[in-house]
Amino acid sequence: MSDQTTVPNTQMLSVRPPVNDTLLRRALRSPSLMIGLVWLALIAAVAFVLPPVLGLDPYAVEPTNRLEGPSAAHWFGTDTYGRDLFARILSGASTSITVGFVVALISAVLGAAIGVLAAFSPVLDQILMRICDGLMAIPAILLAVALTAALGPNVGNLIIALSVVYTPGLARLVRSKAMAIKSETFVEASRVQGAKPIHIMVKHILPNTLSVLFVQSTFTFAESVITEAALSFLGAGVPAPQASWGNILNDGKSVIMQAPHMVIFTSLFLVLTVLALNLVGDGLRDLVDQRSQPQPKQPGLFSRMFGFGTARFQPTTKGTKR
Amino acid sequence: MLSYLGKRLLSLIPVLLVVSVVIFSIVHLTPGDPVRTILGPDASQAQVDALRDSMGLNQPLIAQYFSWLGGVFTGDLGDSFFLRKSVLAAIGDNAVPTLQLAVIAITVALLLAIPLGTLAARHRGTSLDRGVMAFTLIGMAVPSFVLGLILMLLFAVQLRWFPVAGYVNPADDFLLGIKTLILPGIALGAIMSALITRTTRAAVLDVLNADYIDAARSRGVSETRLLFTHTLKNAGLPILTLVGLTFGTLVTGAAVTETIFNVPGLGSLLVQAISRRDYAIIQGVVLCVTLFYLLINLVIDLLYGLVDPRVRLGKAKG
Repeated sequence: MSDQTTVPNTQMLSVRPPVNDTLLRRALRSPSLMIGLVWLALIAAVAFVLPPVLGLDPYAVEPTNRLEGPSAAHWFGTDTYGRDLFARILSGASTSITVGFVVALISAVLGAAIGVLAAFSPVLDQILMRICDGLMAIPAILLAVALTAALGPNVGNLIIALSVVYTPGLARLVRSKAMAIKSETFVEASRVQGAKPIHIMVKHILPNTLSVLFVQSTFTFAESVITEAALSFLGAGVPAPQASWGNILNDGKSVIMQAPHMVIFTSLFLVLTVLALNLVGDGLRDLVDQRSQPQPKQPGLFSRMFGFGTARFQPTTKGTKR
Repeated sequence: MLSYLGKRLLSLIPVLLVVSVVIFSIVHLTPGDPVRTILGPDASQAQVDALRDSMGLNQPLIAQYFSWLGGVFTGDLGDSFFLRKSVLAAIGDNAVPTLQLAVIAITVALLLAIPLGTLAARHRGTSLDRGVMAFTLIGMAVPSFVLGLILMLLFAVQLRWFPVAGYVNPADDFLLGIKTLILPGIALGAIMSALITRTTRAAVLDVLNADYIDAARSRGVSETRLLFTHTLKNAGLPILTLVGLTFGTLVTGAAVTETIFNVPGLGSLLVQAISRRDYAIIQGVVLCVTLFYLLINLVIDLLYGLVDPRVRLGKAKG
């Protein structure tokens, strides 16, 4: 027993990424996240900064120049009333981005509150989750159309309607994550030490659900932009003189024979914005997944310690006894 | 099996009740008087009151809800004052184009998604794989109604291969009917296929890494046979789930796509009903679509057992 002092090498047991690999560094290396963010920043800058700087007026009517193609004076041409399409699309961009962002924010906050509450109270859980089930069973656009029709078409009501549509999904997500965290040892430890439920909810459960919530909110943002466009296209969203990608597309549809540029330019902006949001969401999800879950491809701690070899770790699932 | 089915059907009831309350309250808390819309601005107060009375709008809301709900259970969804027919008949008439559209869309989606997803998985990491993934990324960013407009622009306005809009029932004139439905069908199906392609790729990759594929290959099973009987059969489960889930998206997406192509389906029925404040139709359509969506997902769950005999229904908690 002379070599008692040698410390066993524990390095191979560690499954964590190296310490110097910070979140920021990984974010900077993720191409989809960076492309998405840069593109979004560009669209936001163009939508919010360019119109006042260039003096673009989305409402200025030029009846002599109706449905003109792109030119030096009107980069994207003009619409049915002779309004500058570039100004309209930028104004629509600010509407869409504002609606999408506010909806994502409201449904994330409400979803987090409902999800965490439901995870803590079995009675509330039953009530809240049945309501969520009911709301989620109604296809999104149908519910949104019915709500905006009921509330009246304006941007505020549109935000309310879309928040009602997207909150249940986020609430369910937060609830399932909160349930998982609630059964973790550190929560149990905190509870045994006498922490109040509200303390556990706010200090332990909520912070641990934020990463998934944040990722999903990005996708909610993207979906709200699409649904807002669909509603405005149907005439149940942003009301007429105010510009929205949806109602520009609707105007463009009726003149698709004479002025296809209206549909083409507007679609391009809509698609690129949603694409950028999806890229950001994908990038964020990859970041979060790497940190919160141990790599599934690597064999687990026990198999390496006791040499179970390369056998895939197969959790015994319930109900497969026979 | 039967008791499982019974249990599943019973569990739909609370969901449907919540749905009915939500729909009813949305519709009835709406500002705007349906009676004024029906009779026009010139109607006298006496006429308005008489119609309100005959439509039961003077009863308290709770009573209106229960009389509607009672009707729902007996299969009576009320009558539409604008269309002068029962809601059920209106839904029946308009469901046909929507279902035809849905079938075409799902066919398009599967025809695109399964080969693409399988190819991407088999050639993982190549430029083919990256190309397919880029296609799915774009597909998920394009709303189906935008794709519909672009297809219309390209194939109907520029190339004139298909009619711009309108609907002919394929049962009456098959060729013309398909021609009118193919553009909206592709618009819906291509968007659906983006998600299904991703799932197919992931599912096939999963299976290809399994030991029994290596074992089968080492026994000399041909690659084609390996693909169809071993890989795709086992990858079928997640794909099937997704098809069920996207069915809801399909019906929703159809609301806008139908309006673009003037297809007289459930979506356009609903959109018109909302602008006319046709309470009975709105309630009926949303309820029927939701019920249909829930039933489709139930059928998909039952199909699991057929696709994968390892799934034993009703014995999940062993």
